[in-house]
Amino acid sequence: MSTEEILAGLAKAVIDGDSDKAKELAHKVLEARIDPYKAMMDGCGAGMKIVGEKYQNGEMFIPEILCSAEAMYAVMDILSPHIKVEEIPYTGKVVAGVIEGDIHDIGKNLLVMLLKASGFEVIDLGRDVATKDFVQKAKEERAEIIAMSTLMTTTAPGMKRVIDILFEEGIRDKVKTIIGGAAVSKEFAKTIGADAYGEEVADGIKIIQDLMMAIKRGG
Amino acid sequence: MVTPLERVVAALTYKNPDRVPAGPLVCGASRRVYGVTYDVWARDPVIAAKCFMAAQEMIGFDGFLTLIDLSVEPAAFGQKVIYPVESTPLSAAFKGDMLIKSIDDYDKIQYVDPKKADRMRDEIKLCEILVQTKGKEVPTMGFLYGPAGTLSMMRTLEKLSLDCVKNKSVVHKALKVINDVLIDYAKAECETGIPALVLDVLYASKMIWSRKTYEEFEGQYCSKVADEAKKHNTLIFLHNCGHGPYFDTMISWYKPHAISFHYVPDGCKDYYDTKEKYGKQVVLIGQLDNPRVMYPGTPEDVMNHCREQIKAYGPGSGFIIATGCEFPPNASLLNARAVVEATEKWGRYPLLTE
Repeated sequence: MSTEEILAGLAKAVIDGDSDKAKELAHKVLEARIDPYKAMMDGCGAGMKIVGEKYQNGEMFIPEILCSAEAMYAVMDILSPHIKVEEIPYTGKVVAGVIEGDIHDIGKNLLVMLLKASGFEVIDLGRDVATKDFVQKAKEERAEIIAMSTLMTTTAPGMKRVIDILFEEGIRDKVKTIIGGAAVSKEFAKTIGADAYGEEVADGIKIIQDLMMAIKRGG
Repeated sequence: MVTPLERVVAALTYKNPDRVPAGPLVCGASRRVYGVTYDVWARDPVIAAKCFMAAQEMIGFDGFLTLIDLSVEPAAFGQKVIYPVESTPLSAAFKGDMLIKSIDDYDKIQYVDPKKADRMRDEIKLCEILVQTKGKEVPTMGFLYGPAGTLSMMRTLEKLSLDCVKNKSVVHKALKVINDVLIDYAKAECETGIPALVLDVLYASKMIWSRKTYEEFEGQYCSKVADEAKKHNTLIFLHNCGHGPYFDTMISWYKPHAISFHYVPDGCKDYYDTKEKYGKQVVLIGQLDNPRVMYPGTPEDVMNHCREQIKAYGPGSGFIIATGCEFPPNASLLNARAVVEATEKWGRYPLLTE
């Protein structure tokens, strides 16, 4: 198989959620001495990009996306030990989590998955995350963006608290914030001073990419 | 003077009521009117009933929805529930303590008698008190979470969704048992005299499951719950606060009298398109936006939002203005009152737009 065929096969295996095929092709990547990082991005990443688009267009749904994610992670398990960290181009770092008191995390998990497939380094804090932990981790990791989500209005005020802590720590200008989840809105984002709001997962990816470009341009 | 019951009946039969009925779905928020914490409200049906009635008296909404939270049904099967003092109770499955941790654990799902399961018994009691105390004036809508939703609260949606692809037979086996319990639960709720039962069918949404998956893993089961309620002459209402709800699929499986929704249905462009496509097939209940207006907005914002929706959905009746999901439990109660005020100001029939 040519490099192009292997990469196209990886993308297809990810779209189809076919973990067995994906693993088989991951081994072929190593046998053919294809750059494993290139295989991740141009094979799995390209596949996940299409998965994201299909989800947005109502052609794929949560069960199918989760199968795609399993296939992608199966490839990552095989290829990651062969990727040299210093050779990975820096795309940006995002700290993501569900706000304290809330545990609904499927939207956040989809966002994390698609961000990783888009080349971002993501520190996933999980769910029910203490407000101070978002800021602490962003400081430690020098992350450019904090992404927070919640499905409940009773926990939504925690998002403002994260932004307040960024001010208190004197790093508000260094860290952009994006919020999402069924309990919040563009209007709420404006009220609490968040930089952006993503209504759906695919919006979130695009907005984070735009925020990162603005940061790189010094905005 | 027109009672809320008469007003709602008129809307449900496509006759002009005095004004558009208002149902801001004040559930958990009612605890604040009576002055109790969430954990108390959620576990004591006598107190919850007092909260609902006090809130109705103060706000003036046109119906009770006995939604407590989405862990009432899973609790009956043994799922642990967390009761925060001031937030909605939730299944401990989301914190990793799920009843069904592995495929083998699906066998833990066994039939239970709803009248003997603590939380279901409380819900039945709540319906009973509201119907007996206020039934002649204010309609009470019982509530029941569909079988797939109930199962996901014991397994998580992610794991259940994968199991629906990779381990279908165990999922179907569990759903069959859950549905048998829900049929008896629906029967018990209907026997209290509630005029309508609301089935929460969240997964019939384009952001969650495909139509095919939905039909296989919920439609074919939950339709039997609807059939049971209809045997008792109880109206079936559906609730779906997901993005792009599949109205066509929901109507086909359940033949509901009304649908309560938050986002425009799949295949519809806006309020007007929704009214045009579905307004004559089902009574529309909605579509006030919680995250955009009801929670962060002022009473004035809420009134303007209501005016817009009354204009779109009000003509021809068959419409109850309501929040697209439960009124945010911590939002200003003035925003709930603003919904009623908007119907008094702009929702009187004949509408100015007619």
